[in-house]
Amino acid sequence: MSSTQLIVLALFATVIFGIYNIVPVKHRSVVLLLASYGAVFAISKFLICFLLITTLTVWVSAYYINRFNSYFEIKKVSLNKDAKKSLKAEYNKKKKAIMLTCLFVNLLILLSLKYINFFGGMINKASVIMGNDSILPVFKVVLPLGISYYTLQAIGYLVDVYRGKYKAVSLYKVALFIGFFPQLLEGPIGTYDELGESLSEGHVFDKNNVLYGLELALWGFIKKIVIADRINIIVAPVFSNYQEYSGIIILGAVILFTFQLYAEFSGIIEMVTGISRMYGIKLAKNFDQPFFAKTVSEFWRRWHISLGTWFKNYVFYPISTSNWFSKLNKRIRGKVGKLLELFVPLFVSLLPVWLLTGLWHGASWKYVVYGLYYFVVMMIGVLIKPIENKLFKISDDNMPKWFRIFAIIRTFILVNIGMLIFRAENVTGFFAMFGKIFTSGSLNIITTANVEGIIDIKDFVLLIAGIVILIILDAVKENKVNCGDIGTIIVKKNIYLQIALCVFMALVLIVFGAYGNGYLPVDPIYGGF
Amino acid sequence: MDELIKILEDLKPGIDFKNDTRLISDGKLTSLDIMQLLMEIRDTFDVVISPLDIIPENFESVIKIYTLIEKLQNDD
Repeated sequence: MSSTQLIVLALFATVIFGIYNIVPVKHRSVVLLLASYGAVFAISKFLICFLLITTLTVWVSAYYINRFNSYFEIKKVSLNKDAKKSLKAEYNKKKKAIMLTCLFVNLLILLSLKYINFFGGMINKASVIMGNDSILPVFKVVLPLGISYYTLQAIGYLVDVYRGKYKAVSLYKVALFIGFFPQLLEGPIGTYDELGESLSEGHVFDKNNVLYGLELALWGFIKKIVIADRINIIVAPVFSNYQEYSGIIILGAVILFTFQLYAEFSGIIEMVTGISRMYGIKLAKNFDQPFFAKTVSEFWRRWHISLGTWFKNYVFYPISTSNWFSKLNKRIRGKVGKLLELFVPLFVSLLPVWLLTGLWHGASWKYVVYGLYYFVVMMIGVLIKPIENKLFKISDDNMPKWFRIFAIIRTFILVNIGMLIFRAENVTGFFAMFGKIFTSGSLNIITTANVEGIIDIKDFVLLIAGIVILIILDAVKENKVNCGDIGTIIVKKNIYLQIALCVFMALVLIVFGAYGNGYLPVDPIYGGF
Repeated sequence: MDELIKILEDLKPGIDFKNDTRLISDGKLTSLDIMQLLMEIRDTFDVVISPLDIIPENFESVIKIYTLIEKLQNDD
C-alpha cells in the first residue's frame, strides 16, 4: 500500500465518517463493520475469507469456552473444596482443548500464508546440501490486509475468555473487534476489554473528538509523507547500493532510517488513532518517546507498545508462571551460582519471546537475527545492571543526569544497530554495512558535496528540520510540559485556532509532501507485516 | 509484609519500597523484575500468581502486591 493508497483510505474513512453520523446512533456500528469489510475486500479481494475464518473460529471457540466458565460458576456453589477442584480441572481440560484447536487453525493460516516460503526454503536448502534438487516450489503469496495484527488481536481475545478475564461476546462484536479497518493497517493491537465495547456502541458526534482526531491524523500524515518519505530519498539508495558509499554516509543512512521508521510508523499510528478518535473510538497507545529510553528493554516498552504488551501477556507471563518453569527454577536454586540462577530463567522465558518477535516482523533469517540481537542485548543488560549500579553507585531512584544522558545515547546506538539489521537486505548485507561503517572513510565528515550526490539540498534541509521538530515535540512530552499528543499540545479552547492549525497542516502536507515527480513511492514498512 | 519488602530490596536495591506507590508507572519494576518476583513469591508464600493477576494495578506498591498475595492465599 503506497502513500497515495493511504490517502485514498483516509478519504474513504472521512466519507464513512459522514455516513456514520447520519445513521441513527444504535445502527452506527453497522456502518463501521460494513466499511471495514468493504475496505478489506477492496484491498485483499477474496483473501477476506481468511479474516472471516478467524472471526468465526474465534467466536465459536470463545462461546464454548465461556459456557464451561459459566457452568463452573453455577455448579461450584454446591460443591466442597475437593469436588470443586476436580470439576475445575475437568472443565479446564475441555477449555484447553477448544482453545488449542482454535489456535492451531489460526496459526496454521498465518504460518501457511506468511512463512511457507521461509520454511520451504529451509527444506530446499537442506535437500540441496544432501545432494538432491529443491523439493518445494517457491509460492507467490499475497497476504490478506492486516493478518499479522488481527490474528494476534483475535488470539488475545480467545485467551482472555479462556482465562476468565471477561465473557465471550456476540459474533457481531467479535467481527467488529477483529476487523475494524483503521487498525488493520499497522495496529495498534488492542484488547477486547479496552476496545471492543467502544466499537460496537454508536458514538454521537463530538466536536472535541473530531478536532482532536483531525489534528492528530494530519500530524500523522505529515510525519509519514513530509518527513519519513523524504528521508527515504537518502536511505533507499544507500541501503540498496551500500558498496558505493563511504562509512560515514552509511552511518548517516542508518541513523536516518531509524528516524524514518519512527516518523512513518508512529505517523501512521497517529493517523489511525486520529481517524478512530473522530468516530469517538480510543485506540491503545503505541509509542511513548522511545528515543528517551535508558535501556533497550525500556525502548521496547516505549516502541510498538501494543506488540510488546501482547507478547508479554500471551507468551512471556504464561511461560514465567507455568509449573514447568517453576520446577526448573527450583531444581537449579542453590545448586548453581547466583549469576546462573538469574541467567537460566531469563534465557528460557525471553528466548521464545524474541524469536517470535523477530519472526513476526517477517519470514526471513534477517528477522530471526533481529529478534536474537535484542534477546542477547537484553540478557547482557540485565546481567550487567547490578555491576553497573554498584560501580557507579546508582539506582533507579538515584541516577545522576550524566548517567541518564550516557544511558540514552548508549541505548540509541544499540537500537540503531538493530535498525541496521532490520533494514539491511539480508544478514550478509548487515555485516558488510556494519563493517564498512568502521573501515571505509568513517572519519570523513558529511559535506554538502557528498549529500548533494544523493538528495536535493532543499529536501535535505527539510528532512533535518522535520527530524528536529520530531525530537523537540518528544522532548516536550518527555518532560511533561503540557503533555499529550499534538492535539492536546494545541490550545484547545479556541476553535478558530484549531481550525486554522488544521488548514495549516493540510497546506504543509500538500506543499511539502514527498510525493509526485522525483520522489519514490514508499510502502508503509510495518504495513507489510 | 516485611518478608515481601526484603525480597523486593534484594531484587532492586536502592528503591524506597515502603513508600513508593508508582513502581510500575515509573518503570521501577519491569516485566523481568516481575518474573523474578513471581518466583520468589511462589517459594516464600506458596502462592501461584496467574497471568490474569499480572496487571499494573496489582504491582504498583508493596501494599498492592501483599494484598494480592493474601487474596490468593485465601482463595486456596
